[in-house]
Formats: sequence, C-alpha cells, structure tokens
Amino acid sequence: MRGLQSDTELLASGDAELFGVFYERHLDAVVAFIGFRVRRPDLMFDLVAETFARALEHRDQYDSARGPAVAWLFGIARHLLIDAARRGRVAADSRRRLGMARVTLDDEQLARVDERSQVELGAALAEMPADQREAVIRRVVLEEDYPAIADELRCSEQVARKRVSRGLAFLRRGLEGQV
Amino acid sequence: MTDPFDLLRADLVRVAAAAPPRRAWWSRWRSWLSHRPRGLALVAAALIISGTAVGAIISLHATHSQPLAGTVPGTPTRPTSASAPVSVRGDQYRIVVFPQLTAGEVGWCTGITYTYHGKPGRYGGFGECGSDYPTRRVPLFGPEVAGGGYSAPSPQIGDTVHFVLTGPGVAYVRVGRTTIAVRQGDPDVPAGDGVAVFFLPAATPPLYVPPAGTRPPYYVTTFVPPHSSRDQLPPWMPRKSGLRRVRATPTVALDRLGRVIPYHLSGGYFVSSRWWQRPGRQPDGRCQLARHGLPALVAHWGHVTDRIRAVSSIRGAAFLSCLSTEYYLDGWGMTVAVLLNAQHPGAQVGPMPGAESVVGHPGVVTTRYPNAFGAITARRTGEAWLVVQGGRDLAQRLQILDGLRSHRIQLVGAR
Repeated sequence: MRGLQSDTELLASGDAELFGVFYERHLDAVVAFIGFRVRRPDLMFDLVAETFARALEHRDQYDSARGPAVAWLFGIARHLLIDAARRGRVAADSRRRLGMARVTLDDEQLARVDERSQVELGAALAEMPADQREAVIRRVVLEEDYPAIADELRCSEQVARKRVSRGLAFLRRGLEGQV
Repeated sequence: MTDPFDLLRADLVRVAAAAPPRRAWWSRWRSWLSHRPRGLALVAAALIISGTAVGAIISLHATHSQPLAGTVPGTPTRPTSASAPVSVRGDQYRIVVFPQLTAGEVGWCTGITYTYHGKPGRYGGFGECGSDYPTRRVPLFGPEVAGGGYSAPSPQIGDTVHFVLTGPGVAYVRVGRTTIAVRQGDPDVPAGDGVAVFFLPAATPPLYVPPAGTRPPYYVTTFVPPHSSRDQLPPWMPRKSGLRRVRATPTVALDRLGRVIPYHLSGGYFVSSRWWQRPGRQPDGRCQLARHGLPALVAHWGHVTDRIRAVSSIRGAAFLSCLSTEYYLDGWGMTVAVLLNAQHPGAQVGPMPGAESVVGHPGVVTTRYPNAFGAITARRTGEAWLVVQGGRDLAQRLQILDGLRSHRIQLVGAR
C-alpha cells in the first residue's frame, strides 16, 4: 500500500518510516539532478543529504498544489548548489539542527555514490513523452523562460507551454500515484 | 561495504521520528481544549467563534468583481527598451476557462491574454492547466490558488490583474483586507462556479490561500532570478537572487454571511492512463475513436484510460477526459479528446464554458475567445463531448469533428 500513498501523505504523516519511503521514491531523481552539476562524489553526497534533511525539516511547507514533490526537491537542491558555489562549501544547517550524523565516506562508498549518479535524469523521467520531458526539464529544472524553451525546441511558445503543462501533470500523476 | 544512501535513509528516519511534523494551531488548540473542563472549553470556543464572526461581518464592505474581460487601469506606458520595467497599464485583458483535455484528468485550465489596441500586449498571454475543480473542502481554485504555476506574469509597475475561481456557496473572496463579491452565473466559467477578478498594485506580494488550521503571517518561497537592475523585478521581490521567502497576501473564501470557508490542500484527481506514440498503435481504453475518411489525419501520440471513476466530491461542473490524442493535419497540430460528466460519467455533460453554437452545425459549439493552447470546438456525442483544440481554424476543427466519431465509451464498471 505504501507505493500508493501520495507525497503529501508521506510528508504529513507522523510515521518516520514513511519519510524513508518518500526518500526512496525521489532519491534517484535528486542524485541525478545534483550529479548533472557536481562531479565530485563527496560533494554530491553532501548535497543530497542536505537536500533531504531540508525537505524533512520543512516538510510541513510542501504544497502539492504548487507542483510535484520532485520539483520542490529540485528547488531545494538548486538553492543549495547556488549557495555551495558562492560559499565554497555545502551547507549543513539542516543536518546540524536535526542532529544527523556526519557521514565520512570511504573509497568504496565514494565509488558507490559516483555509480549511483550515473543515473540519467531522463531515466528518472523515463516514461514521460520525450517532447514533454525536455520541456519540463528546461522549465522546472533549468528555469528557462518560455520564449527560450520554444526557441530551443523549435516550436511556438504556445506549444512549449502546453508541453510543460502536460508534462507536469504526467509527472505529478506518475510520481504521486494519485489513483 | 554499507551503501551510503542506505545510511542516509536510516539517519533521516531516525531524526524524523524525533521531530514529527509541526501540528497546525487548530489541532494544538483542540488538543488543549480536550483536556480542559467542559465549561471552560465551551467559553473558549464561543470566544473564538464569536470573534471570527464579528471580524468577518465588519470586513464585509465588498467591491464587485471585475468582468472576465476589461481594461487594466492606468495610462499605457509603451516600453522603450527590452529591459524597461514591464506594465500592463491600459492593456485589455481577457480571462478564459477551458477544460483539461489530457486523458485520466479532471478539471479546468485557465488563461489570460493581454492586448493593446487589438495587438498582443507586452505579455501576450499565458495559460495554466491543472487538475482544478471545486469541492466542499476546496472552495477556491485556479492558477493563483495553485501557486501561480510557473508562468504567471509579474508586472513591475502599475496595476496587475488577478482572478480566483470559486465553487458554489462562495459569495465573497477576501484578498488581504479587500473583500470582493464573486461574479456568479457567468457563461464563460464552468456551470455553478463563480469568479472574482480584481486589480492589485504590482507591489502586492503573491497571493496565498492558507490551508485550514494555519495562521498568519503567511510566506511563500520564490526564486529571485539574477538581475542587473532592481527595475527588472516586481516590487515585492527581494533584491537578493536565489530562493527567498516573501510575505504573502492571504486570500480566503467567504460564504454569504461573511464566514470563512476553510480551504484544504488537495492532490487533485487522476486515474491511471497509458501513453503511446507513433509508430506504436493506440492501446484499447475505455473510450475509442473511429475515423471516417480524412486519410491525411495522422495521430502522433496520446493517452487512454483504463478506468473511469466518478468524482463525487465535485461541486459545480467538471469534465473527465477518457481519451486524448494529438493529431496533425496539413501541418497543423491539434488535440482531440472525449470528455465525460466527471460526477456521473454516464450522465450528460454540462455546457462548455465560453462557447457558442456554430451556425449550420447542430450540437456543435466553439469557444468565443482563443486561449493559450488554441480554440476549442466540440460536438455532443451521446452523453459526452468530442472536443478538438488547436488546429488552423474553425473550419479545420469542424472537418476533424466530421471525420471522427466517438466509437466506444465503455462505462461498465465505472464507479
């Protein structure tokens, strides 16, 4: 039954194990998103850990009406990436506040992180029609504006909007399992 | 070797157990009350209820909703350069509501277009599609309620146009300290629903519909893009780029007595659907189309549903799409869908908002105004709508409607 629970239910539940289910559901997408931008596995793992810690800390702020949970997680990860680039280190504020353990990775574990990051973002969104997938990634992940997306995809702005809108609906349906 | 991601999961679950989600103030208050003597509980409840009612009645000096089409107040300022502050002052706006067509989904899409002397305005237009419809627990819906989507325009100077769609029973919408009387019975919105259209200064922070049990101050998180000049941002945005929290403008639904109608978060409605694309064939679903002629009409991709489930919680009217296909004809793309009555899938569908009859084509309607995804032309087929959106023009959409038939709508087992 757990697979059928929505992200909202997983986040709002007081059952700690359900946050673990939420983590499993979105780990590949978050690793792929961060791995696309950061090649060092230690930094990558730090960013993934802080992303989920921040999601855990602010889980009461997730609003499914504003978009799928994966877009919310990408937003958190993106903010952490920008912050890390500016400060030269990955923030650990949420992990510190939550009292999470500091994980020091050995060589084998670093290799495991690297291996996991090889997951293509496309694989995480594999079932989405190709044209919608690209439009969604450009809009939600890369935050390009519609004229730029239309230009890149060689379609009208209207078609770009339609693809993003439908792609998000597809993603939401697929990821949240709202049946 | 222990997988570091397993270690991370275990640690997250450990700290999640130690820090459960914060409970809403109402929940905490109810819990506190349940442990007090009954007399004290009744007095406290009466104080809260009467305080709420007095507050609501005092604020009921409502202004009327603006129409779905009109002119934004102010003198137009034509931009002198691409980086000049954006304004919609003096532009003509038009708000449209049209059905969500993707199979397996229920609800409404919305759009707003801006024109200036008949030509596209600085914004042109935008549209949002979501699984949006009103229920008893969701009295407000539309892009502002869903968080503005990803493309709501943010003029930097002058007034801005906002709109909120309302379910039956909503008489007013309170935005910040302003109360707006809802426009009812407009044929351009779904039957039974209402709409509140209003102008706000560009400096007004984003609207936010607080879920039941939350209390002010309300914040929303927004991404402030990198910018070279403060003029490039709406006035409510912080200067510093990145993800920022900003104070929001609370927006609530009120009944005819001015009482707040609580809003609850909803995941919307989806049933499982299957996607296909050329060269594959459309799989069998609950609905199927048959073609008569039109050899040049090519189906490229689409969705079909295997289930049809009644959405009994809907108040007002909504359609359930049981098939959607993207066709191309003579280089023009269009979406064809079969829409059912979402509350009672076997019953006749309600009217198509914003549509008028097409002379010489009995049972066919077409939308009066375009939307960001293309105009809609539809024909009643049994109890359903067969819909064509987009394409070159009305003539082409009529050609498609003539060439396609709703071959099968299988409602057996629909719940």
